[in-house]
Amino acid sequence: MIPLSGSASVLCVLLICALPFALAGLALIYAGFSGARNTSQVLIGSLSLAAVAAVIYYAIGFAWQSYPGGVSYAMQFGSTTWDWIGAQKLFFHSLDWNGTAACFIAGSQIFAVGIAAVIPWGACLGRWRISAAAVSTVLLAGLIYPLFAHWVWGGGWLAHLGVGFNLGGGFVDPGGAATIQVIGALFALSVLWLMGSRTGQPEISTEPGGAVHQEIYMLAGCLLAFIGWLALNALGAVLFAGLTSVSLVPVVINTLLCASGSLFIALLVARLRFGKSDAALCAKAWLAGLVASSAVAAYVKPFSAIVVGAIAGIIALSAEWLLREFCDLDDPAGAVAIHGVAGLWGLFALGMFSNLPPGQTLAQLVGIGTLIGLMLPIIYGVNWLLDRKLIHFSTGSEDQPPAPQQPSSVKHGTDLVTGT
Amino acid sequence: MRVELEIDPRNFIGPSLLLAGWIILIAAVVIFSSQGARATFVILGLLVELVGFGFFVHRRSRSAGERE
Repeated sequence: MIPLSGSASVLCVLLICALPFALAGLALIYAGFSGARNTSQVLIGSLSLAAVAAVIYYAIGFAWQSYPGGVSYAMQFGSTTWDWIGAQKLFFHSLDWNGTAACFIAGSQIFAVGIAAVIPWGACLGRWRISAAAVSTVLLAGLIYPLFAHWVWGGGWLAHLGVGFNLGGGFVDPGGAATIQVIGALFALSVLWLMGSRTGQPEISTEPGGAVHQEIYMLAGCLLAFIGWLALNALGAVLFAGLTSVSLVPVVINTLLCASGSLFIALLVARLRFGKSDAALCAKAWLAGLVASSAVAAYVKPFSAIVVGAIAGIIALSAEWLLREFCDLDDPAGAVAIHGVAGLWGLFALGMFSNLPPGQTLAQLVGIGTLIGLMLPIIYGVNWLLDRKLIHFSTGSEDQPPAPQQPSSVKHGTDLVTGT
Repeated sequence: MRVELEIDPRNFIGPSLLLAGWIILIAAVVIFSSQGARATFVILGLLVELVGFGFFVHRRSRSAGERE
């Protein structure tokens, strides 16, 4: 691969250094959704799982993810080639650290896989045994994430849908809406299903120190996550969408507008429906907008970014309610809806709102279908085997934090669903 | 401690339908060359996946109810 220019290299290094803000932001948001006694557990777990993910990704993950033009395994069917997994050397041995895009892909992905690993941990809010979470993270960082990332970012079959089957530019996901957010959300969904809902737990106290959620953590987390997402989307635009550093301004503007659109519509709905707004609602809507922006920020016009963000806010918050009421999903932070549903919407919206070649919407639908139809059964299956055969996921009912089914409106706001 | 795997064949309906939907979707892309036919079968595949997800949810809710 050809080395990046000096200015592009410096930019990439700076953006990589800003990626941990996304991780810190997510950890703080999830800590805000947990009770005060679980705050440190959620934070130390986030840090630990990011560390596990980084080590495993360094050891084997990158070798299987590879990069465009790198060595990989492929199957030939007729005239089409299905590139399915990378075949680089383990422990980054195939990298020369000479400033090529491959080096920056490795540098960014070792942080990105940590972000994906924190999502299921945040969804469980202290109910998941940390040792079980670490083992599951090994599978995430060492197998599932690299596999899908290779298909999308490593020159795999999803990326080649455009060349091989005339479907637009192939499946496109510059900021990681699919690879980071939806994969993390599918892990969260599988783990939550395996652990089941909390039942028979007393309601948590609303006294100071016992509040179900802590607004300061959540809102500080939103600000940190925003910085991290700017870096994530800008870096993805340079490394995976081929944008130059001078064309990054629209990407960061779109990231802000997408999150703003989502937050604005959530505030509007809450104000019209219940007469007051809520910190938890704001945090969820802001995050949903950021997640959707990961897909679209590099490709759409600013007004489209607002529309995509607004719809992301509506459908993520609605999906959270549906998942809780009809799917028996005990997910107080709404991680599955925010990262999963908003991410899927962003991927679909990219096909609808971008100026990519015809067939792009179909390519995006194929990617979405692959996430739900192939990755979900695989992720559920491996976690089911872990839970049943190796290490039980749940901490046990006596150690579980109380069950705040909808941890909002203790002090400042209202429950979007019940209006109380 | 010996852990028994609780395998109920009905638990495989959801994942099987999810995979079937994905296979329909991929087959549509490979077999057809016209975008209209592809779009039709891709949407059919996604609908099958949706039904599979519904089965998945139903079985999970049912087993949660049995636990309670």
